[in-house]
Amino acid sequence: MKIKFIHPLWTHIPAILALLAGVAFTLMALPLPDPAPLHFTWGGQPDRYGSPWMSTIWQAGISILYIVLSIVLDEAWARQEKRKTFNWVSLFDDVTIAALATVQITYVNMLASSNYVYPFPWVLTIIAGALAAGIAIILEKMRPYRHYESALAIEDVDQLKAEVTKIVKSGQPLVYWEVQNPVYSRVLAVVVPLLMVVVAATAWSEVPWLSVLIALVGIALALVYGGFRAVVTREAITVRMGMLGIRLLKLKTSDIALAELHSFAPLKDFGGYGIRFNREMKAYFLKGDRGVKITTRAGNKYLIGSDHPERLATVISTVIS
Amino acid sequence: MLLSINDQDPRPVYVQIVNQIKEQIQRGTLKPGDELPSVRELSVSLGINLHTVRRAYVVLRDQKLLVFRLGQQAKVAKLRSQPASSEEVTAAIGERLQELVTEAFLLGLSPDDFRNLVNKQIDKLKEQAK
Repeated sequence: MKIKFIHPLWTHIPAILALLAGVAFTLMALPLPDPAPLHFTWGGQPDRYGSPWMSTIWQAGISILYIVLSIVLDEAWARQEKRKTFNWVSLFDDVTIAALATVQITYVNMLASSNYVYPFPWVLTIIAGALAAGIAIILEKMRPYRHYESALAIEDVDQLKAEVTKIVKSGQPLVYWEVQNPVYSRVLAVVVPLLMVVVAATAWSEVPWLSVLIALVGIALALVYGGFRAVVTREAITVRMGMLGIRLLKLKTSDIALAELHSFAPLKDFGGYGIRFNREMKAYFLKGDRGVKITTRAGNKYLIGSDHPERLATVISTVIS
Repeated sequence: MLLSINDQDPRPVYVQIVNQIKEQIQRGTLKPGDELPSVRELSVSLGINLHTVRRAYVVLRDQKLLVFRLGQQAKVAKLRSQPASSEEVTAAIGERLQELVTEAFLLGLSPDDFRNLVNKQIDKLKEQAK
């Protein structure tokens, strides 16, 4: 499957150059002392030694992870844009990787000097981060706006409306059910907790409290497995989460004044996915950029993300009417 | 997925659930891979017995319309790419078809009237699936 990027990849050039600079500087400084100091006290004195490649692997690994993450986030931002907006998320990889590369270069420089004292280079790191931020801002300003046509078709819901109306008038019990359970949330709920449990088990003998904390966070992430489910009955609208069906929202249909279709930009309007807040409303969504905005008689607003927003809005509107 | 239970319907509740899910699969409202609510969730929402929902799901699984394993949400199965063999068709709907034809003739319908009725129903289903 070929992915067509809407967000240009050249905006990540500063991050890639910083990553290459860190690696190239290390290669030019070969051979490195073995064992090399790996950890330092606040005063810059080494207190742990190990392989000289450890820091290079960490710097390169974390940098690549950040670049991939940034590509994904930037693409998500670009696909949600209705017009050109400044994507502050795009600075994330450039600034952090420039800072990491600075630390790596100064560390290798210290190794080459044979004087193993390493006071953390705060000033240089801040200067490098600021420089990278400046270049990233210019590139972000240069980035052209490209319209993304959502593949989600607008559904014809006349038949559904007629069906729901008939059921409501007849007084029969009714349930409308839909789920948002994207692949990323399943990975997050299975793979990440497993990794965290492994890490917790290995760290148990050294730092037990950290192991417990990691294991608890892992278990909390596993609870997301099953995604978000919206259930509409004659009496209430409920949003539940995960395999345990933890209730996130319950609104009595008699308390609802209005249910309407709503388009939104997850990153820009809510800063991500999941259970979200902004000044206007509380939102529940794991994917997409459309949902149903519900306004209660008390004036509270809630947004339920949906893969079939027209269906959900039709069912809620018909039930509350 | 939209479901309702009709108290006036003489058919058992599980049959009503089975038929409604089948209709939604046929219409394309439910697509292969779509998740269905858990047995517990659906029984609570509809105010019916847990075993009624479980029975409906088992019937649909036996008819290869749903797939579910222990600890997993029930999902709509892949639709068959080849039409069923005549033996399978006879086993699945032969008896009910015979009942329907008998019922229609007892109501005084001619064979042509019955064919027209069936064609109308097929056209209606096609229209709904659009």
